[in-house]
Amino acid sequence: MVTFLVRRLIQFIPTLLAVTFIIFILLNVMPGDAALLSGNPRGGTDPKVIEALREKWGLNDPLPIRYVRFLGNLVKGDLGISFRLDRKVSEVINERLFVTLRLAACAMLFAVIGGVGLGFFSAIHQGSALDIIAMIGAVAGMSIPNFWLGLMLMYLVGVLLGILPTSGYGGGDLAHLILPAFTLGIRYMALLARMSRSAVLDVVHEDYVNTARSKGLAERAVQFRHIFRNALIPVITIAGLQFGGMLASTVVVETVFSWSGIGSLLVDSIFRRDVPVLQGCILIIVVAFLVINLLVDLVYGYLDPRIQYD
Amino acid sequence: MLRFKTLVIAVLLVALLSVYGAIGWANQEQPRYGGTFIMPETYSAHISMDPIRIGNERAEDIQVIIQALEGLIKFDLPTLKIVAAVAESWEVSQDLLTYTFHLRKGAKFHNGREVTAADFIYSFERLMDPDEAAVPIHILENLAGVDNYIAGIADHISGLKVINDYTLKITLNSVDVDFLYKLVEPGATVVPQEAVESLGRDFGRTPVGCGPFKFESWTGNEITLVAFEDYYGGRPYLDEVIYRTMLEAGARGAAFEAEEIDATRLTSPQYLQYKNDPLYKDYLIEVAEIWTRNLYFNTREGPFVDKKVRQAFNYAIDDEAIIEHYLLGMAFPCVGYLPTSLPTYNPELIGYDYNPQLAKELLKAAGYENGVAIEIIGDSTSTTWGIPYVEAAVPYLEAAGFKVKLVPLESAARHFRRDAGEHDAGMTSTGGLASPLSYISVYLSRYGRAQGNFPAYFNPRFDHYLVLAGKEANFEKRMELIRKAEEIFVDDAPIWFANYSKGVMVYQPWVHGLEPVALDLQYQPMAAVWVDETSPRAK
Repeated sequence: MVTFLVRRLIQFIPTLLAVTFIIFILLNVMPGDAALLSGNPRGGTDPKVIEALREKWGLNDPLPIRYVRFLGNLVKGDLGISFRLDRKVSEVINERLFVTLRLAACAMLFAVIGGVGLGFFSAIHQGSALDIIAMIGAVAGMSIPNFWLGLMLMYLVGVLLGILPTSGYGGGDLAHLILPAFTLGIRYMALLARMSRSAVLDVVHEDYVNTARSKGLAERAVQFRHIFRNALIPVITIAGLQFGGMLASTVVVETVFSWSGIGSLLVDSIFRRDVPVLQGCILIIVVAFLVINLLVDLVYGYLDPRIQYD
Repeated sequence: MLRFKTLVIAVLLVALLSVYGAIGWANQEQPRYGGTFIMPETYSAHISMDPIRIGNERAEDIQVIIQALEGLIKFDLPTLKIVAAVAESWEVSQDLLTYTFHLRKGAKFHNGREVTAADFIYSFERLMDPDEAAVPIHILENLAGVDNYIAGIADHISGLKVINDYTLKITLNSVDVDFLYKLVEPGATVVPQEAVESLGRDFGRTPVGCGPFKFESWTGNEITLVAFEDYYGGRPYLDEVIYRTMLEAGARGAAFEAEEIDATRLTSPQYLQYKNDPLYKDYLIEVAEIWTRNLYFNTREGPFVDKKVRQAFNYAIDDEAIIEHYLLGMAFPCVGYLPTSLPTYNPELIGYDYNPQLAKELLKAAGYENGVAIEIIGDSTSTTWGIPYVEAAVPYLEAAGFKVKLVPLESAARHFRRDAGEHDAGMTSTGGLASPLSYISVYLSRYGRAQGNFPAYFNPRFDHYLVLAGKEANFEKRMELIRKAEEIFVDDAPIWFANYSKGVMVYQPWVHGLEPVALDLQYQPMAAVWVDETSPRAK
């Protein structure tokens, strides 16, 4: 187990190196740079100012030198200074990451509990009216654009019923979290409901399920110990991958609900060519992906004792 | 007798009612101290509150900075007249080169220290310090001795002199009749050296100034300002002003209806909704903002080199119909370039009316009888100054013989192509300056595309009038020279004169003191705003 962990962590290094290289090249071949956009958003900035900023930010140095400098600083744990915000990148990301993690974690929690529960229930009652309704709901959940859903919920729950605040972060209280988390989570819930339904249906007719039943186990025990546990493996994989993706795709929900998280930081930084912040954000998201995948692998071992880590 | 009694009672009743009414009226109009005001910020996420890091189009930051930082002089925002700030009075020498400012005694920074002339020297030298790589350096570029200071030859700018703690003398290299307008910009505000040095980079998060509000915090999407008790003009009415970044119009609408925010800028569909709302129609502020939405032609290459083609474009489009039906009335049709809120507004100027026949004739005269293919770049989302607005004009253009290809681009890519001249035309919005001279001077031939002369316009006669205007101290004569330059500009048509911005804001019934600020409706003088006790945030 320990060797497995160490090996996986060492494998992170080449992955991260490759990622930094790709990000660096992509960000630097895009037309326009941060200096051009720093003064006035629609242009019309004094060329002297633009040149001074390029010099200050080292944008006039050749690409290889900038890449080596970036790597050198990265090893020291220094992500640099944001062009746009004139603040340390680590500080900016730190502030935003927690906001997004909180949103994504709540959305995922809601998606997993709701989705797996619904999927399992539908599969066990395959073909029933409830199954059909649940699956129609799942298709709808996957198809509804979340900005629309967000606005509708805002109006219905926030304005007409007046039971929750319409938007804002509100210092991080639960009331401000519910609508954004639901809006972000609904699509993933629908996806997980469909996934877990088909996973359960795959398992239901396996020999070991028949064996469990024929040896006289109670139906509940068969469902939970044999069907549910085995069906969870593909579901966990999908949920893990989705969580990583969710971190990078919260921007719509963040914008609609006026939150400032990693998603909006990423988009603002792309538009303003704020390369240091972009590099930092993408690195954090890649690390999150890698760590979640590792965790998913570890959970496999718990769910299926046949999986060995060596 | 009975009649007399009735009459007496009636008179008494009327008197009583009018006294009661007067008290009620007085109560309503008597400004009240206390309360919190939540203002949504609608443009984009805040960047920095450090006045030397932002250009004069950074409305998202400027609307906050002006509440907390002040300089020698400032705008009276509703009228856009230049008025006293830290300087109570000032004189300009005969040769228009020396400005002497007399500072008021007792103006304090938020840290409690008094503002003196030396603080202005520090703040101005900080702005021009090459190590700072500041953005709004145009403000002081014309100061005597600034070049030596930038080059490191001199430690100080020789054109800045402290006469005593309360007197500051500024000497210019050459006459600049717009110098006072430049001193009003946020880049020229005064900051205390000790705070800049102790806060370091964090100065951009919570700057220290001497304005009516001071910075309390900036967390996530919210900036909180609190009343500054020792403000030289007396403490503001509100205890707290919160700027909350809310970029989604639908979210702002919902928050406004749920009474979570005190006012909000409207989009055109929202304008239509509130204009017809029995309650809120009386709580709308409308203003002709000083922004000209226009399409710059490439006057150096391609079909738009020919003036006739540019004029044909202008004649081909029914601007009023687009404004009425597409923007639902939320803009004003252009006559010339300078908007109606500026003192140069010229009602006699003849612009381009809708004349499709003339458009066709002009195109034919230019040799494009069978039509001409053009490519237009622009912002992908803005309905008032982006590609969506041009889309509304396409049917008119096609009817006149233009074959239009629209290329929506995000800002960096768009600027890159524009500055390289790789386009036939591009949609944009320009302005935001209260001085008509500065407003139109971006089109002087000495400026390149990157400096704001997007069409790369060149006409010596136009230059001539503006250079004269730049030396003319008499205000009326100056305005007349600018009007002459504008007439030439309109005739040359280096741009399509699309529309002037109309800003509309709706506010809650408990809000008082918001003003139709033409510079930008978001630039509200919050020190004059107050909320009555019916506000849910009145405490």
